[in-house]
Amino acid sequence: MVVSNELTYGDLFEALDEASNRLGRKVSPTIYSPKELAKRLKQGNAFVRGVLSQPKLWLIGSERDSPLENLRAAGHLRRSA
Amino acid sequence: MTRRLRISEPRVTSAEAPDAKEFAALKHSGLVRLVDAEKRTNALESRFDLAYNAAHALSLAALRYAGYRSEKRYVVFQVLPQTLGVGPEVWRVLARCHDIRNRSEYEGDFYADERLVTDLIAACQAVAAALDKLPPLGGRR
Repeated sequence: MVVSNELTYGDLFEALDEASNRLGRKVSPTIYSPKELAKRLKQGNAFVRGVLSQPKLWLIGSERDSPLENLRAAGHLRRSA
Repeated sequence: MTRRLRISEPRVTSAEAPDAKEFAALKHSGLVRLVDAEKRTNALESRFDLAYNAAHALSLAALRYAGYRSEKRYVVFQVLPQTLGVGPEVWRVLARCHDIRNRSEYEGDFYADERLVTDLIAACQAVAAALDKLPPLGGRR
């Protein structure tokens, strides 16, 4: 799951193609804008809730820098321990 | 221009000489749907369906141009690097939309947002542009 207002699926699939070939399996990213992510959370979307409740590996920045902080502030997400 | 297709599952495609009329009809069908998919007054779900079907018609046109036919919808997207020389930024977006279309058709689980539909339309436009660059089939039937 990628949270971004700017990235396109084309950008992402181009970047992930080598990884997909190396892994020998399909990599299927989902892009949400912060707004769309908040909407899905409000709707109780199982995929979004599942991903957000699991441990995350931050490639750039940290949880504190992420748009998820705004969602927490808005009460859509509980802070993990 | 001749490209040899390497397809791991031979049963999913069969060789069949291109047909200029069929090629023109598929291309026309794809382009008409693409124009309607771009209309923001249409519902997002409708725009997704139109763009997906446009992409399928145009990708199938490319496969038929190359002298093959497939009964598996996914294959027409999978072989786009061979039929039209497009990269993962195009064909993988279409393949992803194929999965979403199947989930919607068979499980009633539709997920598409503005981002996905915009990118599906862009990928479809790239296929249409690549198709336009192919030399005419001429009188081949």
